[in-house]
Amino acid sequence: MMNVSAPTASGDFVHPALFYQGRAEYLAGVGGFVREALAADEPVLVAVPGAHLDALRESLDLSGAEVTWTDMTQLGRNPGRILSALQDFADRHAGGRPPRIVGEPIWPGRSRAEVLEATRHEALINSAFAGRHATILCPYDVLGLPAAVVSDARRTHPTVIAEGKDLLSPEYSDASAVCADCDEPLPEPDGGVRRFAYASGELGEVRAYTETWARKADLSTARRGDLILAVSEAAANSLAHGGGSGSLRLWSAAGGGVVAEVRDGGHLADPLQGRRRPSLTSAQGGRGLWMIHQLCDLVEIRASESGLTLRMHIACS
Amino acid sequence: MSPVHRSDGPVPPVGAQALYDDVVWADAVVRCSGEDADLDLLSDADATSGGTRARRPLTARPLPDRPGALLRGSCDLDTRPILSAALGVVTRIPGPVVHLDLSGVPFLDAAAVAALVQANATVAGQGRRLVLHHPPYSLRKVVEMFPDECAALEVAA
Repeated sequence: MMNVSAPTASGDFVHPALFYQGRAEYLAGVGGFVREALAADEPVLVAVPGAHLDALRESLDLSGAEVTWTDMTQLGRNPGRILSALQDFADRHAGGRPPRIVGEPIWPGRSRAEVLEATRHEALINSAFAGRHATILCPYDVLGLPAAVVSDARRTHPTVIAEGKDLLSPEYSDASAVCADCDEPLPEPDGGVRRFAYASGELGEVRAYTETWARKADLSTARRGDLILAVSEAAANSLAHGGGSGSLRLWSAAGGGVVAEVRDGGHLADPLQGRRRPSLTSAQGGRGLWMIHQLCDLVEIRASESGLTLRMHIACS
Repeated sequence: MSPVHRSDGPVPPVGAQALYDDVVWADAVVRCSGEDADLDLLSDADATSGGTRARRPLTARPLPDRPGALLRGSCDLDTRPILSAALGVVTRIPGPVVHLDLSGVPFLDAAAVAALVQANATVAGQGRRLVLHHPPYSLRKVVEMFPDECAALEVAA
């Protein structure tokens, strides 16, 4: 049995990676973590891919026990919205016993672009939860995942649990260093894609342009609505925080769905922006980006000296 | 611009009637209207933007058959002052129920929904109701994303 060391003092944040090989190790490691939490009367959130949820539920057989189960392939479809959900859970239990969370944001089969954003998320967990009395255990399938992904997990987790040992990770790195490495150049779309420039007073035109284009794309009515809302919020951010103008490109993704790219002169002053549930009435940034994360299936963010690029991916349905 | 709301329903709470008069409403509708009035609030913003593309101003007019207003146009950063002015008037319309018809509004952003929540709180604070009709997809989606803060919004079936 792998025991995850519990926080020793108030304010301790514990964030181990669990390197597992095969189903038995997974069930022992994650199941043991959940059992310990329940024994200590700590609130538990288990956010892992659906197939793992089923296996855990079956193996734990917790009739009536208080566990919040979430399918990470839905919650974490866009890695950029996981952190907000984890903080929501911790906030709901603030003042009580420290929460325990299982978060498995990376699984075999995720695209390179998704893995980069999920790695960024893993690094930012450390910033967002610094000083919070909580534990987040992140399982990694070391047999199924590329070696580079496992290496990055050593950089995003202060400790690593492997083969029954819970050890400090010498490769653990500052979130800003990991995030900088996630800022790989975005691949250009195939063929020429028209750039639509906009400025103040032209949000209606941005939406009209998006809607006209989207009507010809392979999108359900609801996803078209999501696309228009996401693009409009991104363009409004350009006007309010990104230098007063920006540009939009739209194209169909090779694997289905669409991509909307918004570029402007903005800066991402706080890398945690958009990763915590905002108030509906909050005006100063964060709200739009948070909404974009909720609406999209993947959001690639590239902040540089010259400005901000958001690539918003939306699946067909 | 007939005062159709005067005879509608019971006497409004103290304050509402005093705030409401034809002058306020007519003046506001002219100021908010971009269709048949030369002066609309958007022109202030346009003057500095230098844009040449077609404008889609937001307009508000009274409902012909019940207390309330029909909004037409999109509610976003560019039309925010107009929405604010329009809701200021709408919340002063007397009657136990004020109706806001959104069938002519293709899009509302989160800030516009926040303004509706605020208007709803104002009307509710007077012991009255604000009922929204025909909300577009964007409003329903924003409500879905901010369920607690939008819980008080009443949408007609």
